[in-house]
Amino acid sequence: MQSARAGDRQALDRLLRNHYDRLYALCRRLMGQDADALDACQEALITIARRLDRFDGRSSFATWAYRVTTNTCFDELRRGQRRPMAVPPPETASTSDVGEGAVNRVDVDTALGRLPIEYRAAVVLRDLCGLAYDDIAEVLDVPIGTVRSRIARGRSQLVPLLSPGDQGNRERPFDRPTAAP
Amino acid sequence: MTTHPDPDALSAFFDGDTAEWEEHVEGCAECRQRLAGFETVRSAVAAPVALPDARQQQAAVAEAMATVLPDRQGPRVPRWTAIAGAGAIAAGLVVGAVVMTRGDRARPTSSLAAQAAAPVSAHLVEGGDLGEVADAQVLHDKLQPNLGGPSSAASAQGTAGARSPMAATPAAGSDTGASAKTASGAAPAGGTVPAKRLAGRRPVPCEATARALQPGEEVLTYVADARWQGTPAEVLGFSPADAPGSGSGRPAPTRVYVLARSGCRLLVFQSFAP
Repeated sequence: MQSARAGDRQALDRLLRNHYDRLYALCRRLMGQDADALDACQEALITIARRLDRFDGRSSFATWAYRVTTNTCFDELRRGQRRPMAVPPPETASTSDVGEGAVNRVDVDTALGRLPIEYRAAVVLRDLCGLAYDDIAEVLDVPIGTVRSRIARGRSQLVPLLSPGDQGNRERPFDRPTAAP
Repeated sequence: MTTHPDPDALSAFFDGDTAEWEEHVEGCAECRQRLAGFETVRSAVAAPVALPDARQQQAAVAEAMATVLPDRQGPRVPRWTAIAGAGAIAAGLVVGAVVMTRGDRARPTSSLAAQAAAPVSAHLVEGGDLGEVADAQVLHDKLQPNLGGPSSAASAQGTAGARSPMAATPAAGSDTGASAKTASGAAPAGGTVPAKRLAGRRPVPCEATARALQPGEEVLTYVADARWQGTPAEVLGFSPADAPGSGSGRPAPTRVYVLARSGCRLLVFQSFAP
């Protein structure tokens, strides 16, 4: 990292390659489509390469890179006013096969696409990227309490969408404290 | 009567952010069911994402690398030198923008910088606009006249028979619809020249990306525009440095890349045997 910041192009190249997969995965979940994710990830890599000298080291590089990437996705979504859509069937997608994990991809993308982008980002940063709440707060530039709330609301909206046959949750949104008998 | 944790608290408990509700959750089927729902969400969101293939990843990193000026390496230069250099680059870009006849396309300065430092064939062919290209066969048909065989190459250009396989001017009446022309008529016969000797050539935003896909020290021999299945694209051809037209005259395959003009994503690749 230090070498890359100091201008070592080989180090920068390695840094970008090492983080490409996880940054692309974030883009893919936030953008909802392969093509949009490719574009967003490309833009994010360019921004990271250009602004690396501004990385102050207060957070980890991964957290900073996630922040750059998330903001890039927000910009792309807002600029194009695009909503995530279902991706083409796997046999027509120009991506490599990852096995069973890709089977439920369309459902996940559709469900995530129904969330406000702020909720979507919070859930994805937690459940896909595995960031801690304080790191997510830094990525999204919001207080930790807001992170907790967004994750909870996002999950609560996703549960009925991703749990086929779970009509109970669908009929009763889990949005406030309840009293048990 | 027992109060359930609110959604924020239960979600935080699920993430291990608090242990406050552990005792309640152990005895509460409803909360455990909701936790199971969170687990379903996590499993779905964390499911593996189909990653782009290696070429796309390589191209993306290369494009990002191309935006970083090489002079970040090594000792720092005095600020006034950097400012003067930036001014010179800016002036060059302004002049280039004025000279450029194809002003309808956004051209990243990074690609221009990379292009300026890259070698090109002395007989770079500007293929013009190839129009709509529906598939690989159509691409092949449209480029074939420019590939040129040994006979057409020898007859089409007076450069002592040494030429790039893609440097041939299309035969009259060819079906490409493209008006191919060499970028430098004054280049030395059969040689590769520094890019600056071809300073007048048009910018090719996706050149850096395509170069990153080369296995060796290939030189750019062909540039054209096209629409690949409706997507505005650039067509770039590369030949080995020792290919005809750029060295020994030994036949070598030409690698042709079609990249989306927006984002320079690789759309298709073909290798043309001489």
